[in-house]
Amino acid sequence: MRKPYHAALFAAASSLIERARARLKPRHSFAMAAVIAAALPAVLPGQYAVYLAVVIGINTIVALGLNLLMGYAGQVSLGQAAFVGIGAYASAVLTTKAGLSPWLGLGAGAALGGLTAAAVGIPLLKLRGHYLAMGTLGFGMIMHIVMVQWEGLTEGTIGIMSIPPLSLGGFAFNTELRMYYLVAASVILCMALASNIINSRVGRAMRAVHGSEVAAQTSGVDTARYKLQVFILSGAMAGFAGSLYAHHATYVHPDCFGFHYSIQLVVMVVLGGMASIWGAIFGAGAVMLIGEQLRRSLEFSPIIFGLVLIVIMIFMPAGLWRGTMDFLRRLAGFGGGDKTRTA
Amino acid sequence: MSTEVILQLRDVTKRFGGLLAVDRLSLAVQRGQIKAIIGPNGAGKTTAFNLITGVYRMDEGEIEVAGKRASGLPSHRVAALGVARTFQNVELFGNMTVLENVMVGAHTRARAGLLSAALRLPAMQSEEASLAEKARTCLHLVGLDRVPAATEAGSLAFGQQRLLEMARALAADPAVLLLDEPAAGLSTAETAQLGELVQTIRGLGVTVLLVDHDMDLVMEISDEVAVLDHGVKIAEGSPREVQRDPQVIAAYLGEES
Repeated sequence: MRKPYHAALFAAASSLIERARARLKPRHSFAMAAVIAAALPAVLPGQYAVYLAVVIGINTIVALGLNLLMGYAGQVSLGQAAFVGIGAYASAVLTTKAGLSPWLGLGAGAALGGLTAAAVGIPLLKLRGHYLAMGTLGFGMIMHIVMVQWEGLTEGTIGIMSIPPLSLGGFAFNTELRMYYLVAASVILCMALASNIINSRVGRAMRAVHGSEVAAQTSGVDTARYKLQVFILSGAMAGFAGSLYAHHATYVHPDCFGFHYSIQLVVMVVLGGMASIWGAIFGAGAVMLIGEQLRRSLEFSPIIFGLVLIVIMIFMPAGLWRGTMDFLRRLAGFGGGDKTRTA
Repeated sequence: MSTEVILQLRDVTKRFGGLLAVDRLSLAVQRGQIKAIIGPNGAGKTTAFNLITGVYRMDEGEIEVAGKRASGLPSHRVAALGVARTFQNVELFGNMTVLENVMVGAHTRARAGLLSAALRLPAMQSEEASLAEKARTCLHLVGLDRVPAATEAGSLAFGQQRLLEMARALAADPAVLLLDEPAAGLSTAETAQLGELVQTIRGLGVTVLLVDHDMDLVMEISDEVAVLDHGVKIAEGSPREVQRDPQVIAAYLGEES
């Protein structure tokens, strides 16, 4: 954001929104989110900003799933980009080579993401801590190699081009604005799903594991089973997002879904705040926007990115969303806000 | 009090390396009893609880809950058999509200899974409502109904945290309630209230097995007492009988010397 008053406006708007949201039931705050999302393109400065919003939206969906996995189920995934890639390539291959409808591609992306997560999760989730992290890292690398080497299916390093856009009847989602609305609706839907899960028996069970794993187990919580279920869900959400990516970018390439992207995704979750649904948007937005700003100074970008991350994590260890909200609350002297609200 | 055995331990043994923590322990708890396990520190009492609830794997022996095999089962399956417990160091879900803590206690009494939760199906919603209702009933039973349900569990006073743990355990409608040093850290007045609460719970049909060092409490409310020393059961009987048993006296005196 080049002009400082943009940041102040954004902060003020976010503070108002958060105050309103804290008083609303979940379904009302999602309705509010829908209204904001509908109105947003009117205030965005130009096509490129709308494009960024679409990219942030797609990443938010992945971040939401990863947030459930890391923040609530307490697992780490250093290979989440692989699931996004599976969804993207599923859509790309099915639409360009088999001529199927892009909507089927979306479904296939989600389904394959979930199925792969199931296949990989059953052995991997038996690992603990660092070993689990290594396992997910390895999985990510294997998928990347598959994307590169299985040229018959993926065209290897050439990538797959001319992926058709999603369309309903004659109406094609082939402009930034149209994709924006589709993605925004998907994001709100995923946020609602995530919120429903968190405030349910399963969500409580997972949060309980964080509070005291032994007490959760002796209360009857089958921790292994829920960890696997959340892993599968995060894989399905990532796959779904991957398909959206394919039909938006119209081109997929193995390097889009490598280790670098997996790390970016983890950073989004940690930055936005683990165990925070709204934080996922913030985290995705922060990483994408910072990345955009740093594009100008290529040599310094990793250093600056790292510095920004360190500073944020020192001063806002609960993540960017909670941290900013707490800061603004203190600044303006607004009290209240139920600390136990999880969203 | 019937003669049905609700919890049976047979020759249960647990070693930690060279240390024999529990040595061929056999114990029977009748349905409707309040039974206590006492003994000097390190006698193996909490280890016994951990073995019953599947937190530790036993090396030898069998455990049955209402006739069903519990030995070798993971903790969540033992809980599903009807065993609930509290912990010596209160193990609350500090990151969740008072109401949510108790609702987790009823986890095995509900069924809604990931899909019905994500879609908020009607069956799931009505189940949530009855879980919340059940939780409120349990909070009322232990005397925490004045505390706002949305209070963060970690911010409660210690005595209240102990009560919350009991409410959580009761939410499971357990057949057997295991209380691990429930009076530790409580004042005399709070301990007396605890004694009354345990008797109320027994009156509701829950069998209680407790471990504690507070002899007044144990002798006051227990129907039967078993004494452990160095992992071995050295005495068992009514509170009076056990108090007069020379081996028991020697074990406690031995600890003081």
